[in-house]
Amino acid sequence: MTINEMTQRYILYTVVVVSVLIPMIIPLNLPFSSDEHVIKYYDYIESLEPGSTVYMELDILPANYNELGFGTIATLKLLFNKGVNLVIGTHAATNVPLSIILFEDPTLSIYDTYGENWVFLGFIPGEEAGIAALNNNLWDLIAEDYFGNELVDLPVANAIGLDKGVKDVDLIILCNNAGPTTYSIVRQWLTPAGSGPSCIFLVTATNFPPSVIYYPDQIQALVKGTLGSANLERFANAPYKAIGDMDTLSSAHLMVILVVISAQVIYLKERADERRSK
Amino acid sequence: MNAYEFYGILIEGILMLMILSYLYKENILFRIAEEIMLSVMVANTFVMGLSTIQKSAVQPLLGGQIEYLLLIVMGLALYTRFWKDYDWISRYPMGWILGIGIGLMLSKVVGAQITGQIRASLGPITLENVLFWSITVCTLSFFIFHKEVKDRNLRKAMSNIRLIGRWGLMLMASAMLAMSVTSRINLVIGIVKKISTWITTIV
Repeated sequence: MTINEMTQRYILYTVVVVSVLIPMIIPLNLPFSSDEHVIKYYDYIESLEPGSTVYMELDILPANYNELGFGTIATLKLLFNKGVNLVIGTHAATNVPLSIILFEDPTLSIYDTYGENWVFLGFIPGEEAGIAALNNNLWDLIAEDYFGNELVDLPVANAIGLDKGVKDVDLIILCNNAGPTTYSIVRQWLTPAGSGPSCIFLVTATNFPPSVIYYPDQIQALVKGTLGSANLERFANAPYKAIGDMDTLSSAHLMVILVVISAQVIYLKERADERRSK
Repeated sequence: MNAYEFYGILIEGILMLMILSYLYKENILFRIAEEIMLSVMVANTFVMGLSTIQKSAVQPLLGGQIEYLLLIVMGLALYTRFWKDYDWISRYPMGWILGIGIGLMLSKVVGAQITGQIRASLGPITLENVLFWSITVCTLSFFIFHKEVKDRNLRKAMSNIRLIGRWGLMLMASAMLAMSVTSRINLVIGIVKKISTWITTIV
């Protein structure tokens, strides 16, 4: 009996959904590992002194929220525990709504100190030119933050220094998709290698391989997707949704591996049958 | 949960199911949800654009920085392309924007994406790095050394080098595919979690 292409597709959908649903209903507590990148990423944050300046570039979209959102929340928890001055911005207008949803996460409660030790610049226009300008001065490009406060009036801007740019910060953190913005950032902030501040990168799993080319000269640590986010939650001692997702991710991976092996076996069997019939 | 949150989750779930209906086949519900998503994105970008113009051009102008008037005029000049007789005016701001963008990019692209990569590749002599250099050279030879060689032994050697290069490319492609699967499964996890939240909220 041959299964037509449409039926095969539905079988695969069912297999993936079942493998995702089972661990949600019955937690399997499957183990997961950490790699040198996650440890380096964590070490860079841990080495920050209170009062250090960090610039964070957010690129959170509906398609990557589940993968990067929780890692970003874990990173923010680590940063706020360290007592750093944090400037957050984004270079795509579409990223702003989900960034706000992320800040409003109930486990964060960071709005109490808004303006004192952190600021959200919102959408920073100008693409390559905007990124280059931000390198020279954090406060010149836009007059107000996302919430309409005059940037020069905010205590955090004065604590960092009104003449400071990204080139003067202690650490750059990128939480994004490794798209054109990342390449512009590497060009404008991190070139020549070693000239700019240290940069660590939380990236989606899909874009991990093309981003490795910038490691270790321009980007000093690359943390990928949910696995990286789960490790960050573990390091921050604040288990949240990424750790919960790891069970589901591991079981779905096992299922995918089984499907790939089964497909190969079926393919080889069909080829052997064809040869035999000839 | 207040009414705002309740209706938010309700609409979110309905739109998600409308999008998922594409798994069966393309249909009107999917197209409606797709158009809503696009419209929301465009509306958001439009509002962000207006807010940016207000913050980074109008406000400084009103504060007395008269040079911003020139930038606003140049921005408005972009729209002259809608009138055939005056569309030449739009080339000036467009040229300005492209010139600055390309100038900034080209001044750094060699350092960032060529010499930077070569330097990063030249690490200390370790087994991992030797393997890395070998595969890099073999993969480059797959694209570059395609001239026919008459010497039989040399031809065989070149062919083997290209074969290793092809394996390198296949390994890279499979790693990228595996990573893509990871990301896509993450999307499924997010959707299933949202739907379960939706069901528990509605029921």
